[in-house]
Amino acid sequence: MLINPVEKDQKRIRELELATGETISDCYQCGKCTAGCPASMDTPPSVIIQYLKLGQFDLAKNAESIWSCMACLTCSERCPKNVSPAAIIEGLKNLHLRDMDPRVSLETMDRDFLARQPQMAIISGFRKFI
Amino acid sequence: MTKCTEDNKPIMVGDRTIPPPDARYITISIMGQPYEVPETLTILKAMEFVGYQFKRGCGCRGGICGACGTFYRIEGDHTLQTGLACQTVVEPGMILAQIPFFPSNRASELDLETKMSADEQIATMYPEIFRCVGCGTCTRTCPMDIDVMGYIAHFKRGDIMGGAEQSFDCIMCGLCAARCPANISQFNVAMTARRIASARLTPKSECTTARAEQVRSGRYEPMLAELCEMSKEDLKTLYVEREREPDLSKPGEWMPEDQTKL
Amino acid sequence: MSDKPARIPYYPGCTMKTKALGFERSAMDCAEIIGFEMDELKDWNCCGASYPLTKDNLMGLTAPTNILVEAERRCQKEEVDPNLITLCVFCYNTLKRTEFAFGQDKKKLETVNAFLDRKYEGSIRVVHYIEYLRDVIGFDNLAKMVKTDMSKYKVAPYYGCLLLKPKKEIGLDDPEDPVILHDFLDALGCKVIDFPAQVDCCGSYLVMREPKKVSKLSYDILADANEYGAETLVTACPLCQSNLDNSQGDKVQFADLDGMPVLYFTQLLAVAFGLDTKTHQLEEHHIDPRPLFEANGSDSESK
Repeated sequence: MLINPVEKDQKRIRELELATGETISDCYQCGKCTAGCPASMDTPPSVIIQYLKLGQFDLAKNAESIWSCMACLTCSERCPKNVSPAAIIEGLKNLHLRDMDPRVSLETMDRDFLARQPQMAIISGFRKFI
Repeated sequence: MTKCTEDNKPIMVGDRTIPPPDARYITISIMGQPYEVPETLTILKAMEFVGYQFKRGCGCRGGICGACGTFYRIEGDHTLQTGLACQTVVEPGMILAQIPFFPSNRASELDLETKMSADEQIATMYPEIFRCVGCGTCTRTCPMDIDVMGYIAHFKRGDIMGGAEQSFDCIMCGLCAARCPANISQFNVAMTARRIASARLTPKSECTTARAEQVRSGRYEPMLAELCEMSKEDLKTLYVEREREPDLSKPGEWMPEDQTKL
Repeated sequence: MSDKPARIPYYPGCTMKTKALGFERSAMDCAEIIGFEMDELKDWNCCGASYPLTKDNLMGLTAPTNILVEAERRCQKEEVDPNLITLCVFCYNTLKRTEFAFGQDKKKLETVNAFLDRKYEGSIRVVHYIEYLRDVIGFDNLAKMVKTDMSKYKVAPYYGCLLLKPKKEIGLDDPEDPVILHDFLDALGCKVIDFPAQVDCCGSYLVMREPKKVSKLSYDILADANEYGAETLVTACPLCQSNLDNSQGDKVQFADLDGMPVLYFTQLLAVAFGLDTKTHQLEEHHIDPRPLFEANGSDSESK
């Protein structure tokens, strides 16, 4: 099945590349990122990038798995083409966050849980999820 | 514009200024409308000069109640500036908007009996402080020159007392919260922190507690009753002939001869 | 060589003053023995605990820049080397990557300076405490200061992610096969347990949304260390410590694993120096390390 990138998606992919500083077309799908990723993603990093390469922007952007990235940077370190899937995933997350679509609600967060966490977990968590 | 009599004398309405005959007039824009006002007036007085009336909530006129927070730009300068209307003098080309009220976030309950530590209490009441990006916009906005980002930083790292002290000059004008990209209502966090600091962190004043106990026990009732029975003349005499501690005595150095009322 | 200990500007980070207070205290007590002083910056703010991974995000650099400006001002005023020492790995990573970014891109530095209305010149070198021990003190010299017999301790060095990655910007050690904590433990005289999961991620901030996943990741790391014979782990990151330690409260996930204490490397160093560890918050750990210290010896008399 051949999937042609629609012009609208081409534009969004280009904008994502500018925002993240990454070149998605460099990826040649070796799969080292997925192999090293600890997040057990349903849509792993190499698949996210493949969606983007094939112009399926929404499939990448709306993948629930991007929210499981823990920025361990194993993917970026191991990529033989110096692509950073972590950066691309963060770029996709930012599209949601900058559109007022957060993944954590301050209001419903369990207060006892909050009190127990080290501040760095809360601070970095809020950066990634709100 | 300014109401005048036929021979061009401005009509006094309430608090309105009467400018001197040689006053220089400048053009400012209030809520989008241009006006000519005497150049020496504060924003507050300038607004009243042109006919605005401050009917409720505004204010102390002394820079301490925080009701007159104002945003303004000077024509030709892109910077957004802030000030208190009662303290800031108008400038030529000033374009201003008043912020009489800003919807801020305030946590609903302050439990002073909680088992949580003070820093955990602030963290759970206002978790949004952890969204602070350290941009410093709040500090640059504050008309009281408080390091707002600084005190939020204190709260983030658990130093509630330090942050409470640093926020002391806050007049709750709300201008910081208006500009915060992380949607923090800094002044409410600080107020809560000051309350927690006073209730839970500052050392208790033993002598105050002891004195309050003495009052509650009725120790001073007989003395007050005695005073109430006295005639006006006797009270006057008592006052004039009272024993007084000499100026600049060191603590504990002087005691009155009649110590029955101590 | 002056008699006064070297005073190095120190950036603690938010967690260090509350949940990781034991880390700081043990680090400072050990620094005193080693011969340097961690001189906390006077005015500091949170670093943000997160280096922005996308190039378009400059807001993530504002907080680290404030800190670097403060450190630079201090170093210039006191005419000392422009070093900033850190303990928390998140802070280290955020500040170090900011240092690198500004080194590469002067325009970025100018933009952030203009926004903050400050003039950071880019002089500060961010250093981690363990880096200082390796490069300035030397692990050989460290070994000479050890007073306790640590040979009974079977310790696994757990590196986590942010101490080492990205290699190009952090440059502390190899992310796939690091040795710095191994060498540190060697210097103390412990039995060093090398184990494969030592560079696996503990789950980091995912604990805010998916604590079960963090539990699983922590289990994988601890079970691996256990399989290779470790009785305790050392780490440099308060979040790793929190995740690995507190996850062990999940009795379902950890059904087949006895409690394994997770220590900050400076807490173990304090034991090696024979110091009093009462203020090092050992009692705050979920899995109490004190029975281990009792069993293996923790005072200088034992050497």
